[in-house]
Amino acid sequence: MKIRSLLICFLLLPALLFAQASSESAMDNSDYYTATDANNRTLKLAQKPSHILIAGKAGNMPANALFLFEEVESMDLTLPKTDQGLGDFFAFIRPELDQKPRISQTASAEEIASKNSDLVLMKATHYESTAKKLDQLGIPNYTMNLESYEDWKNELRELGKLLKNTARAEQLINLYETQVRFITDRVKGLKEEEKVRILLLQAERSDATYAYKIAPDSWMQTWMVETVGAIPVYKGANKAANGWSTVSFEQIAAWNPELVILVSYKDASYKYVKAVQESGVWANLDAVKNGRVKASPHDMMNYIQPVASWILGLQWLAKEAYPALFADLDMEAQVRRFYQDFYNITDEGKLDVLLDLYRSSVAINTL
Amino acid sequence: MNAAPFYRVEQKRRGIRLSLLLVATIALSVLFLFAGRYPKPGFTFPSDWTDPMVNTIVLQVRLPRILLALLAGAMLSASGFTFQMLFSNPLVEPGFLGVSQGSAFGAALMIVLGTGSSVLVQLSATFFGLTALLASYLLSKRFRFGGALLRLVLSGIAVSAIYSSALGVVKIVAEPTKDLQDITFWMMGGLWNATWNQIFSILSIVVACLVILFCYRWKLNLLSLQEKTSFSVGLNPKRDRLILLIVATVGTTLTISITGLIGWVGLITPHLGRKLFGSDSSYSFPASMILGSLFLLLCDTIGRTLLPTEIPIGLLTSFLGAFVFIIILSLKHQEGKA
Repeated sequence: MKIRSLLICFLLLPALLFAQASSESAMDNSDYYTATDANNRTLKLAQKPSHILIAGKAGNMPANALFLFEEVESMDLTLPKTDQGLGDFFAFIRPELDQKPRISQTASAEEIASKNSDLVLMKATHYESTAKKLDQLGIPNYTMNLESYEDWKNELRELGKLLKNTARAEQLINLYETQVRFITDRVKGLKEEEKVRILLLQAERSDATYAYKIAPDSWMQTWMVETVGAIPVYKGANKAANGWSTVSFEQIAAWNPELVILVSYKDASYKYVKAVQESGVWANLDAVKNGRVKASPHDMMNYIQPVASWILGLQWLAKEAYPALFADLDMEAQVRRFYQDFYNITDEGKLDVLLDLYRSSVAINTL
Repeated sequence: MNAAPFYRVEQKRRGIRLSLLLVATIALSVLFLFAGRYPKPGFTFPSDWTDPMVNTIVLQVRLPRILLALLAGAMLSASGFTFQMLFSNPLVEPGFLGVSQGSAFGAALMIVLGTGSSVLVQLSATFFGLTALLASYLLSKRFRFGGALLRLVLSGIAVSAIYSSALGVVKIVAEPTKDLQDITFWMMGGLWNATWNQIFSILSIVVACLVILFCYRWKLNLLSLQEKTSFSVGLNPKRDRLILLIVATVGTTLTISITGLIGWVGLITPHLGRKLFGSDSSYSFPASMILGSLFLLLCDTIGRTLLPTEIPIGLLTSFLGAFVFIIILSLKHQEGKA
């Protein structure tokens, strides 16, 4: 009896193991929605996520990436506050989002759990504070970094896998690569002495007090300046790995940049250009005297930041740095094409609104 | 043996030392006017003056900043000294009795309410700084534990905690992309944004506060004694304490409404003043004021000169202040052993 039972077990065990392995492999290839996130974790979902919650600060970045895929149209979304003081892009393209309450950017894991979402998307910086707790609660979550060109390419590819739409991911990556190549091909012949010395500053204002900050070397803003063939005069000055650092006017004068780009992530940049033009202290700076202090472009989001429209920021920056080299680059056409290609916006009324916002954001630069 | 000649000699020595300290501070202020990062990191030489930018930077950027460092350093130190003497407690500084926390809450509240006016932010910071002082004072009257000073210390701790929590609540409800950044902007403090307008907006009141405290300095010795003792030598301790506390608080809150919260100045420099000039506040009080100016001037000059980006002043005052604190305490220990 014992021998017979043992024999049956021996025969059944390989069969069971084979069945298990083949079923897993089949799931990997077809059934599971799987991808690796910015924290190197592999997420496996049995079903396509249909209710996605975007959590934490800088939620506009993963939201931006998600909205590039048409799958988002059929999804039930819960977003944090994504307005940077210039209007809410996501509610603009999907007005029903405006009716839905937003989740706090500082929502706890428990609060997030109460929303019963299939998937929580967030920035990789929230891994320790939020993602780990969600793991404990068994809530599927996925982190994205999106802080560099390489991040955008890699993470769009992974997001494509997660949504099982790798074709769209490759299409988006191809669009980015083509447009970046258009710029790098034109500026690669520039000699060192021909390169424009750019100072890109994030401006902040509290009442009558202004602060000007520079980005770390590793950030996308600095990469953008270098990619357009210019020299970021501030490179090496910001020792902080993870944040903007304040610089005094004295240091700005010591750098004496040829072109100053003012960026704001909570206000229209032209207000800061106006303040600089009216300031007696800034008046002696060469860039001010030569009219080369420029407001960065935006519609509902500033283009000089790691959101999907960074490619428009790159194109604009190239044209501002080398107007002759990019004389044929029609920014207004590019803005229109970007929203058609990347967000599938075909409504002319919406495209006109975005274009008007772009025009007014940079109007001060041509005065 | 008659001690009067010795006392007079000692007074003369202290007077000379105080004058030297003042002259050194003025000399360093002038010297630092020529230190910075334009046109190159280091000193600005006379040959650079042909550049009109140098003129702008020295007169519009460095000079107001140096004056604000001197003014704020003197005010924070004078307040710290006054608080330490009145409470006979060497660990007291303007943050004591909830004054700094009250001011921070007041400023944050006004930012969240979105008035958009720096005058209102300043007024609110001053008002809540004063209410913190008043609350600490009234609470201490109701406490039924320990002596008058201990009760005030305990009520100060409670009021500080309440305002800190209230500030936390304001930060939670603040709109993250705008108000919260403004609050952080204000809280971080620093002298990098000093302008002539800012200095003029607080100059008259802060100077008035400094003058009043300076004139009261001899009374501080007596007020640091027990209440009965100071009463017996002809003072009205309750009234005088209240006047000094209000003046010190107004001066402090107005200063930090411009500079943001700057720690350690009000704690360290009074200690240093007493260490170098003795416990008689006739000399140690003005010495503390000058040392406060000098300390903040040094920290700010390092902060604006050493790196291309600004080093937060709070970081430098804490770092250097802690070193000075350790040295002072070590020296005291050695004296004790001797």
